Amino acid sequence: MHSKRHTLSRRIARHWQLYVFLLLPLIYLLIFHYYPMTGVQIAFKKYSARLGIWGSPWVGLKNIQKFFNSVRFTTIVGNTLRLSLYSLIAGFPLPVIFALMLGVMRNERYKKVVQTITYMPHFISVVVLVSMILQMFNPILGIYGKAYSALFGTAAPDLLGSPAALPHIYVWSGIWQSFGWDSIIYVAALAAVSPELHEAAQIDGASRFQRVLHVDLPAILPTATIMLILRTGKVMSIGFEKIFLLQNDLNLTTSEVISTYVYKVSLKASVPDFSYSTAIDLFNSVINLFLICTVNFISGRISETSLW
Amino acid sequence: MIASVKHRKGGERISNRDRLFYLLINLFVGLLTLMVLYPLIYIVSSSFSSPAAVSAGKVTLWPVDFSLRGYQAVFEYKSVFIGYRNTIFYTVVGTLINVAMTMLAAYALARKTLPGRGFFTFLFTFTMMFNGGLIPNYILMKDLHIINTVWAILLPGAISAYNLVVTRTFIQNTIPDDLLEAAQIDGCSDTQFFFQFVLPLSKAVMAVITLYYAVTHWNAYFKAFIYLNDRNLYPLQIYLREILIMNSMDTESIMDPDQMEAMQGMADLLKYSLIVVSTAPILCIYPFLQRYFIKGVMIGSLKG
Amino acid sequence: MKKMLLTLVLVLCLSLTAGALCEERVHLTVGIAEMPQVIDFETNRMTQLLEEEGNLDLDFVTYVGSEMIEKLNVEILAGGENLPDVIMFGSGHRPTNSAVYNWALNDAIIPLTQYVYDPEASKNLNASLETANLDVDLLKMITMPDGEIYYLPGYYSAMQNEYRTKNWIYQPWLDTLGLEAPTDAESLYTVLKAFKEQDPNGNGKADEIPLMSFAGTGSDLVMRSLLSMFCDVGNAEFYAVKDGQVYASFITEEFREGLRYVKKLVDEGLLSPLTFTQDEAQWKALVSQEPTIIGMGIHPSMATRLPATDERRDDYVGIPPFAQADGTVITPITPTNAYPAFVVTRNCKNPEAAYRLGDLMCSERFTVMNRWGEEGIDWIRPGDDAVCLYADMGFKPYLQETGTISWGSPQNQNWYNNGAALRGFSVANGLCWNGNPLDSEYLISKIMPAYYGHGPAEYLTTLIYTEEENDLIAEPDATIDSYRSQAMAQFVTGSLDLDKDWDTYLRELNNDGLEDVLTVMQAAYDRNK
Repeated sequence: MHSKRHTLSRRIARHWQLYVFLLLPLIYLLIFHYYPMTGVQIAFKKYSARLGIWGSPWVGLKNIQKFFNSVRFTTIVGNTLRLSLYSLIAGFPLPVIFALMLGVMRNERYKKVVQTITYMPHFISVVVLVSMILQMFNPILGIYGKAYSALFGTAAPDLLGSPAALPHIYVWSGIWQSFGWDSIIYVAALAAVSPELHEAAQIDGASRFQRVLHVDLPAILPTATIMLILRTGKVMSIGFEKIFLLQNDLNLTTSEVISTYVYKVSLKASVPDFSYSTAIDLFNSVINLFLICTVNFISGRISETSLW
Repeated sequence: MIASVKHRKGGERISNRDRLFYLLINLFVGLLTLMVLYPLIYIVSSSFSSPAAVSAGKVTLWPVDFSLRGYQAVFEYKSVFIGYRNTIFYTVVGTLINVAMTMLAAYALARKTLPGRGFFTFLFTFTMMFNGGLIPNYILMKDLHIINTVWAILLPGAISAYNLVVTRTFIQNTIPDDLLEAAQIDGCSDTQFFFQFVLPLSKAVMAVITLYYAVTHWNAYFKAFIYLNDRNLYPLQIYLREILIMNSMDTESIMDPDQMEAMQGMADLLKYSLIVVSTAPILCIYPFLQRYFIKGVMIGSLKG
Repeated sequence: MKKMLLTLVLVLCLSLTAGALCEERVHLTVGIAEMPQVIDFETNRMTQLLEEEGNLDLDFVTYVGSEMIEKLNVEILAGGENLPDVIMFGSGHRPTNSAVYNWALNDAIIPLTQYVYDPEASKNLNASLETANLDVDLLKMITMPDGEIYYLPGYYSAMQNEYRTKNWIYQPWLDTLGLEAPTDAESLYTVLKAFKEQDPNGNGKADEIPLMSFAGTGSDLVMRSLLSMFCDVGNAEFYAVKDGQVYASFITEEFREGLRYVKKLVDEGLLSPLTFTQDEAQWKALVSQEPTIIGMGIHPSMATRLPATDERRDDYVGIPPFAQADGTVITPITPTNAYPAFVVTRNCKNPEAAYRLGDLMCSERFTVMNRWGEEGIDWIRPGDDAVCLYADMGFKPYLQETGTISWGSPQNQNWYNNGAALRGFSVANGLCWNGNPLDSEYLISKIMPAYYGHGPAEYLTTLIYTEEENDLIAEPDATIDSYRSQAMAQFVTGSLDLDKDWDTYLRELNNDGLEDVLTVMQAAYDRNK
């Protein structure tokens, strides 16, 4: 009605400066993200460089169907989800807990050293990480092999040849590599907690542990929730290189994921079927979108925190 | 339950229970740190060992057959310095652009009363999941005539939706509404509020996104290799990659023994030296940013 | 008088050079991978000579080597306006036939057929073909399904590369245990068993690993060598040819018997299952252990796996390929492939000149230079006392390196095997010995006579598919290849049972589309004949 519209346009007018702030970022967004996004239509076309994106002929759902009909479809999607969700759920708590622990530490020097050391694995390249894993888990020469033989007397089983063990190796090596780096944002969030809150709690007789639970944790919970929501938006986008390097003939049943499968097919075809890979990416994106919206919605209901 | 007060230390009371807690925390943290530390030492030690030792897997903790061959191979390749120069440029300028754009957008989107806030946020986060793919992006760069220029590196990715959300969350949760109200009553405009209050109070999150963006720029490889042709513009990672390839022994080609001995194991050794070479500079940034994570950033803001 | 004559000669020379410089040289841009092994293409010696003889002026556009093909694909798919006139490839970074065909279909490159069959334009190419005296029809091999030729090949025949599945055994252990080198399945079993149980390295520990390799290329060679005792293993994906019929070797009963044998070896600890999971670095660490713990290896060359000064290099002696139960030997071969090495893009305004460059590179002179450098400077014609490594097989000494440049290190004499090239066996197999008994080439040459000529009578060379065929079988082909490789490893390590699971294996392969793949392969094979 008249008054409602009046209020809305008033509100917009009042915030005009904020819209100016948004102007440049929005222009960037439109040019560099939304304009190329129109290229997604290639998923429904048969792309020819000669005809270009807009001129190539439509083929409808053929490319997506081709993907759904791939013989290994259920296996690769299943493996992708298993590795991704496992990484997400297992990897999420540790950076938060670690940040809380860092917040408790009183020796500043010790704390700085610890922080610097723990965030360094983030910089190790995937190639080196995997070769270190392979080395460590070698049943004859690796630490794992030697410890096992020493403890049990028999030769150690080859964990990297075991489809059952592979997800664990993949996930926990990832957690090892990233927990320090991932905790940085939480440490920053903790730094902004007002000391007055802590003082108040202390006056009330709370132990340090209780303060962690009742002051620190609630302070970073909104940040943590947002991080979790953001992560679900990447579930289908498992990286290629690490899993590719960890794959071998014996663990392939759990290590073949969408990206490695598509790579092998494109290698055989040795002609980039651009429409096909776009279709698969689209499939991944839609799943990601669905998941993130769901989690965001749930989070919005349970807590006050949500993305949009 | 009342904890027994053991002693006073400059105004702070440390109970027995708290002492135990601190001890446990320190132990646990120490354990985690050691688990991280050992492989790191291994990498540094390997980088200072001889190629043969690394290849044979002889390195366990300390360097074996101490040698600087790994580093020699890197710095002999003069282009590495061009790479360093370019990467520093991309990192500094790029991060400045990133942080500026991100702060602008995050501030606007953090205002709960902004009409269309949810819509705009969705617009940004949507791009995290959907993108046109390599070819459409390449065509865009071509149409903008920025292929083979520094802008092809600096402009795409100017705002990371992920970092934007992080920043918005931070601003939203740590700048209290009371502060805004008080400022508005005093006649402060949105722009003034941004520069006088939000920026100084957001040092912690600015430090975080600076770090995130800087590291992304530092490690960037793909954008450069797709969009650039001029070797003078190549960042460090491309040259490092070339060094690694150059030293990878092609076992199917015929080689003479002296050269073979010199090159054997170089690829294995270089993997480690390259990590140290490419990471060491970035490791220096963190301590500078760390001081922004100090507690008490908010003190004084609510007074008066 | 003398002075006047001298001045006259000088003036003459000066005017001639001035004249030469004034002559219009055709300008071409050449796209090539940047590699540290080539210091500077612009000032490279081979560039200078090519420019002189071809009357060209070359400018280089370099790509980051490792991902050159990917970048080209992107540029071409996005329209290809910035491509250089000519693009050259080397063995380290090259497109497949299908990729090149796709570029042709996208109008990025032009057909070279008219130049290839023009005797004047291809005089060097034809001369090289005659000297090389190849078994295969090279021009046929590089013709695309639409009948056109779109590239000039890089074709480097070397016997060593065709016979890669070579068996090497640790001779000191054979001596210690008083055994003869194994020749077939039974004797191999006996020897490996002895290695395992009789402690040949004498340290009192049962730490010997009779046979072991690493995942990927290593395990492939092991399987191929062992299975060749039971069937014709065919090409890299185990497709073979018999009486003109393409078939899948990996579904035959003989293949299954072979797997049974390999399983027996694994079960009894004679072949380490780590072969299927560890990487080369791990394996190298084990091979370098003192005292020796690995008894046998199956590689193109064992010596290159050990450090250059390790004396055990020649202790791993090459032995002939294993024979089947009835004595026949079908050793696996990898026929030399012609890969695309030189294409001309549609941006080139002077294709004749571009082709001239390619033709020059195919001449014997430049092909040899591209690998060994300039005659008289980097290599010399061998003297009478030179020992040709393959003299016993009828090869004449061809060249002897002088040591000014070394393969793999930065140099500026040649383009490091990038670009068009053509040579037959006579070149690489005419190498002369540098006198080092630990030299890997020397060690290979000692055993080569036992392998050469003992491959299968019929075999598959590279197949070129039409676009429709490609669309049809790319995915099934990849799936089958991956599944077969997986199943092989699982059968021999026991995760799958050779009796109970064999039918499931066959059924799965059929479901994956094996029929279609074989049909298409047959069609492509027939086209090439």
